[in-house]
Amino acid sequence: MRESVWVVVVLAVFQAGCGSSHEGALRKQVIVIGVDGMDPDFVENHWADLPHLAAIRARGSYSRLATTTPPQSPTAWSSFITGLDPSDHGIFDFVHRDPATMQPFLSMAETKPAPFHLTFGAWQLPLSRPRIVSLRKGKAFWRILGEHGISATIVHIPANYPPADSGKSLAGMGTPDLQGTEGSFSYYTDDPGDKPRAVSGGVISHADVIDGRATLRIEGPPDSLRRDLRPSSAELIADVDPVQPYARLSVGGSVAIVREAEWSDWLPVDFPLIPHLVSVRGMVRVFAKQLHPRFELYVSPVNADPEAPELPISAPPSFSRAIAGQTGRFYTLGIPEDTSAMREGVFDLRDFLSQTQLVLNDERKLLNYSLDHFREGLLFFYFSSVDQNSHMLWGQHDEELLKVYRAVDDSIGEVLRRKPSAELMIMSDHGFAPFDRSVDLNYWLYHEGLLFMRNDPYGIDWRRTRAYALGLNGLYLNLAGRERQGIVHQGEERRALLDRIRAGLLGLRDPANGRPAIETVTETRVTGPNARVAPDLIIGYARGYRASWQTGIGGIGSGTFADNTDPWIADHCINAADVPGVLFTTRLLPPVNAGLRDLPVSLLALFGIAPGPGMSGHSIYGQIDDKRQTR
Amino acid sequence: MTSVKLDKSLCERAAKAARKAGYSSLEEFIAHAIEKQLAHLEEAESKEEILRRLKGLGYID
Repeated sequence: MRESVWVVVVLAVFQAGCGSSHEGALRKQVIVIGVDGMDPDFVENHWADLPHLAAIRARGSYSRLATTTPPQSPTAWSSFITGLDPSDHGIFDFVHRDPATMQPFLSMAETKPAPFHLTFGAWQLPLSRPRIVSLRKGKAFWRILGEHGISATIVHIPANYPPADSGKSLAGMGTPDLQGTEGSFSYYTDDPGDKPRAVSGGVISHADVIDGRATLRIEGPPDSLRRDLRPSSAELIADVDPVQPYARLSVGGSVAIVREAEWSDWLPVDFPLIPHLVSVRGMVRVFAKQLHPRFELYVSPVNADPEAPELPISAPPSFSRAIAGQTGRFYTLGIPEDTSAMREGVFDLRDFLSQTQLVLNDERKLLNYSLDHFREGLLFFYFSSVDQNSHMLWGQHDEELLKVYRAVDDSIGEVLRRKPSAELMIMSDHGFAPFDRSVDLNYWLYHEGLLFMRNDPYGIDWRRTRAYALGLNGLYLNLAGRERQGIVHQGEERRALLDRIRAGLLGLRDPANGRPAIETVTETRVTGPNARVAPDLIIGYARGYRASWQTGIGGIGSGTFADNTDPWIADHCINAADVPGVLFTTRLLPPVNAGLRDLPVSLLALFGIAPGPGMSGHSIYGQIDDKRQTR
Repeated sequence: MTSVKLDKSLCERAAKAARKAGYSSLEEFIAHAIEKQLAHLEEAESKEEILRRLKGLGYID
């Protein structure tokens, strides 16, 4: 009898202990700030200008963070999300190719049209909705948190479209605009010298300004109710004041007044599919670049409206509406900074920086909302602007780039101030390097007799081609049984070809300066379903080099090397060892030699949860001892 | 069936090539050549649309 009583008491104490530990985990606050492209060299050269990051380094920990091979955002963030290598999560590049059609496609998500329609005349009625699927495999680490009762809020993490169905999340990079593109701006000008044309990431149209009024057509989503899928459109009327630098904008029922060189707020736009019956809601921001003497108006890509989203931009679907109800509308396009407009000369530097400011303002609103509602569990919050501005400013406009870094640092200060007891981690997916010279891999393969062109305008002769490049780091063999017209056989032929290409690329020197252009050539060795999309080789360029603009889409130019004359002056799609990211923690840690795959394991460990299936990283926190936390 | 006018010398060259390649008739050869050309053109248009969707990423041109 006495023994039974002791057993009961011991069990009760044990259970109380377990309950306390689990409740502790449930109540814990962990915040991760993900800063795309935050570079360790830039940070280390500017500690005095980044007081909050400097303070965390002084009282907690700071180190460089190894990125993935290749060091591209979709790949790196997918490894952070799942704890898996690219060979397991299946995202190797921004751009993959379908070996059955040899067509490129966005690696992160796919929209599958509704399979069945009722057709009548020019119209078709879809009998189900199009299906949008994430192509990333593996389980998001916050789903594992959810399975253990830990709540998670994930804001704008890349490669999460449509968002994983767990906790609350807003989709990030990979989310398209309503035209189904990764961002297509519209630019209207009455300058007769500016010919109407499609440009990279947008369309330039002529505007007739008659008696001070321009009637402009904004292209919307393809009309899915028509058999020809012709684009829907909406009318934007701009009435320009004859004297003052103001214009009145009317679109649908919305009216806004904009001053020259200023931006409108978000304007909701309805695109009619069947007039007066069915329409699709989007939203745009308008920039009155010039009103006198020329008329120059920029209209942003048509973003999904978070108040009435036509795309699956949040989980649960009501989440974006709840946020917008409190903060107002915000950018929902996956990459909101319009680098295309700057590359095409529609934006000058000042215009681009003013647009970045809008993005940062939206991010601040979202961060404040997230902090207001964060009680316990995990909050992940993402900043895109350091990455996008580094592409355009790196090494030439450091002062302007520092302002973007400072804006993020200010937000980190806000997190420290408002959540002083939270465990905080700040990390980036990769760093940055200049992009001075481009390498046309397909031209090099052509020169080596491994790629052949057809004697017509259609491109590559697949019946003779043995290897080809597509994407920012990928090189593929034209493999029999995998590619549509593959000719290279598995076994010795494949092995010899890989060895030949590797040796050739590692010996490739830039004739302009004699420097090696490529530092690493990594064989992927992928098995299973991801082998279909995996490049055979991943090319690690030296700092200063990158795949040519043509190589990215599987095209070919007229020489192996060329100067990069584009306003996009920096990149990170090079040798991974040359572009590490950063890792800050408010917890004091011994020196760590961590990589992205270690972070989800570490975050799970903070909540006392073991790594998920396939996660091979190690916790940076080692044995968790809450007393060691410092601030 | 629709009739199409072809230059005589082109027609003769096509007939010769069709016989050499083992086509059962000139019509079959021409239909196959048009099909092949159309497939290329349609693929090219499709690729253009695909690239339009991707270019907003900024990384490609």
